[in-house]
Amino acid sequence: MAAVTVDVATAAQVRRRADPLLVVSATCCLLLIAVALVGGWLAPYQPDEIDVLAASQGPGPHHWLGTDSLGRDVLSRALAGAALSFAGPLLIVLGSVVLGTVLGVVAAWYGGWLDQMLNRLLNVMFAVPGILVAVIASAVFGAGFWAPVIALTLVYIPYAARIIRSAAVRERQQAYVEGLQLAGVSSLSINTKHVLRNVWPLIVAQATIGLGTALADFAAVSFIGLGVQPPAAEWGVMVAEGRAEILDGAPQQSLVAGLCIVVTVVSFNVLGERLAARFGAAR
Amino acid sequence: MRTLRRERPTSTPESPSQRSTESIQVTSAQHPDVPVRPILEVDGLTKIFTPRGGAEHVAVDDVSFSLRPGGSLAIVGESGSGKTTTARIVAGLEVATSGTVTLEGREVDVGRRGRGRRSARVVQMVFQDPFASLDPRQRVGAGLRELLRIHFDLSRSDLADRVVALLEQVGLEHRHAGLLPRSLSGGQRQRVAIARALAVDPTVLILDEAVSALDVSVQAQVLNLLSDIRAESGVSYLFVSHDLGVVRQVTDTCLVLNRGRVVETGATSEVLDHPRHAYTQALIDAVPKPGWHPRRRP
Amino acid sequence: MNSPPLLDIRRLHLELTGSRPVRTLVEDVTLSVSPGESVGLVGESGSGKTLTVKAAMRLLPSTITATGAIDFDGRSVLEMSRRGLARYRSTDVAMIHQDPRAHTNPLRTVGDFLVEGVVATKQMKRDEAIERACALLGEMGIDDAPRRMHQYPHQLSGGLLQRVMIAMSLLHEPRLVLADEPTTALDVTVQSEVMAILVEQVRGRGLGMLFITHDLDLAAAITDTLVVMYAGTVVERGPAPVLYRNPRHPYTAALLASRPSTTQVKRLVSVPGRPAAAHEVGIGCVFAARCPFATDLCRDERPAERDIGGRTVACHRAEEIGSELERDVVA
Repeated sequence: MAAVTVDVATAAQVRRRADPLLVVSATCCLLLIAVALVGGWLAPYQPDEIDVLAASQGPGPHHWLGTDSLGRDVLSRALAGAALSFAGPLLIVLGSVVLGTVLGVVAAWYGGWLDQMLNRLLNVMFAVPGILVAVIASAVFGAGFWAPVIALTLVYIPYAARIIRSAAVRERQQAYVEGLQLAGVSSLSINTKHVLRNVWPLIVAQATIGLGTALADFAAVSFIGLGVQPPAAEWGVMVAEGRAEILDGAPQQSLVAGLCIVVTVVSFNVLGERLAARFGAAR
Repeated sequence: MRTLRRERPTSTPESPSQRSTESIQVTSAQHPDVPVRPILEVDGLTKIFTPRGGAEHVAVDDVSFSLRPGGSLAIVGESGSGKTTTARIVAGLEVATSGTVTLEGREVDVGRRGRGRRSARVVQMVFQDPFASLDPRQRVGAGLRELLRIHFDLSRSDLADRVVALLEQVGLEHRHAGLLPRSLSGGQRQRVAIARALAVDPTVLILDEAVSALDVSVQAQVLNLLSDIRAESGVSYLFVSHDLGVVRQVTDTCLVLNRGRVVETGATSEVLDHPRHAYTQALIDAVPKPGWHPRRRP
Repeated sequence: MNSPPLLDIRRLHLELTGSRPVRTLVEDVTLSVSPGESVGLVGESGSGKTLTVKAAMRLLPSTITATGAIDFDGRSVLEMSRRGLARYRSTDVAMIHQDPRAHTNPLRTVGDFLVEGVVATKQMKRDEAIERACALLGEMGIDDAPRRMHQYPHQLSGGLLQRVMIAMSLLHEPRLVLADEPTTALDVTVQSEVMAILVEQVRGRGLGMLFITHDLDLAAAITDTLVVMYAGTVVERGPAPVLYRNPRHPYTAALLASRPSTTQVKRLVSVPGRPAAAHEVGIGCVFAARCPFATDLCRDERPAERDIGGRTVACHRAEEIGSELERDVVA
């Protein structure tokens, strides 16, 4: 029966329904990305500009968010450090989502033992705590930018792969896929032009959530000194460096950097979650 | 004159069918005296499902039939009759346990799923659910172009012309090419599905309950359309349906399945006007029509 | 009809709350069901038939506003209190849905499912309910009722499950049965049997029934009155045999003519276009855009329902075109 009747909350209605949380989080994310892109130019001071005379000052007219123990302007460091704080997570997300998508789509398409093997592999990968891998990688291959990035990319693959596999399996079961096979469309074409195109919004949502989490993990690795090294103004490093100053009554570096991390992670996680909810209903 | 294999009525539906060994002489309409090879021949097709840890289920049991070029054969049955499974095996979407399927004189491998690109030009299928049979994110025209590009080497303008011609053939307009499936009604989507099936220029078109999900008035339009298409293009139909009225209108010959077995076969008008098997009679009696009253099974 | 109607729907109007522009779903629908009368509500997609019946049970989502009158035995359903509504739904009226599997809990046995309604509303004790349920199942042609009561829905076929649903709906002895395409999802041989049982029960108990279907032949066979709906309004209403053999509204005639016959091959008469929903039609007659007899008057002014030839029709030209309409040859 051709469905011209009204159902309770159709997909179209869900699409049109205003989602204030989505709007707010999207705005925050866009602002944060903008800061990452142009933060360096916006900063009033150089991030590594040392001014010992102005050390450990609270917020004031010259330094809006105060200074750290070396007199470096906290605001400038936060702004300039945004790019570096994002760079690693961006690569992690890109890498894990791309690889996760390939694994997920292939497993969904072929099914059978390939799917089962992948499932077992993913289960093993899930069991390993992410940060531990990153720490070990840094310890073995040397601290810095790349070791944690590569390690975390590998750790994030199973999350993406599992979600995308489920979506791909669902898509693959739709009648139109069989029609395409019957029409002689190649498996590769079906997966790239059809399955992926329908699963794509979910991938974007997953990547967004991943960005938030990766940022937190990457900052954590830098915090314990095995990631980006000082004097780089990465937020995790700033939190670590500011620790000693907290006891001196000058928490501004850790606080500001910590807030930056929290706001960013929450914004991206909420955005990703709202996107996933919206695209999940979009059939 | 056409002689089709006719099932001799057996005493009970469960006893093994005593099929006559009359040879099949199939002729085409244009040359009644010249025997023509059937476009589709199915012989002894059997499909047994063996779910893990469950009893085996015989979905299709020794089914045989043939379809002449340009003809229209109905496979009639209720749920569990095996009609859809049979059609899917013919299309290559399902694997058979035993039996043979011969298309255009060539035997196809029924033990394997999928047959390769060239076989797409032999058999195509229109599915029952108009809402699931189209990619929701692909526009109608783009979908048709994709199929045409795979099978034919056409220039850009030829492609565009062909798309328009296909849309017209199924009673849609030029503007429908730019629409997404969600902007189309059920009847329109089925027309698109038919256009897609015809795009590759198949010899046999399987319609698996293709009009069952449509409103009655829309169903009438699509049935008329299907009759017209067959008259114009000479494509052969394999019509899977539970609806005897639909079967009467669109098919010449018909096969009645009950629980996987053929219980009756012959010209559609013959089978529906003078059924030989009790099950066929029960089916006909159960269809609401003028003067009908619902009846409890004795 | 001397007795007052059991269900009296007058000028029912349903619209989507707060939508801009106003989206009408059902407009100006009037129909009634008397005790012992079976009324067939026939229409295609967008006709509003399901919404109308749901309105009669007040089962519409909050996004839909209902105006007009729906009275059950003189009491207004639209204005019932919560308690009154609960009582109405659990004792006076029963609804049989199209897909029995969607309306049964797969984790509960058939027996539990059958009796939970009447037991929860304290109409019967559990033992009594079980006994009555078994008896009812027996009347449905289910011989091994006690065994079936211990089975789960997935162990029953569609036809069997639908019979269980019918039993459940009759258990609390309602006075009105609302059936929404109860046999559409069933095989045709099963449909015949289930319909026979339903009609037997309804007639035997003198219940009123509002039966939704898209199958005019089925409706004509089992109902006393036919109500044909299109695009949210009633286009024709009257005694079933009268409408069936001699339709006066072009849409009813078109519906009858587009059914494929099992006895003869004929070019199916198809009306161009597709069934419209209420919000898709203009100010004039709802069928004007597709009607072969439409005139400017039809397009500008919505026809009121008029009594012609023993039934009610909403058509400006009903008298003139009556003879031109396709008539069905009664086999």
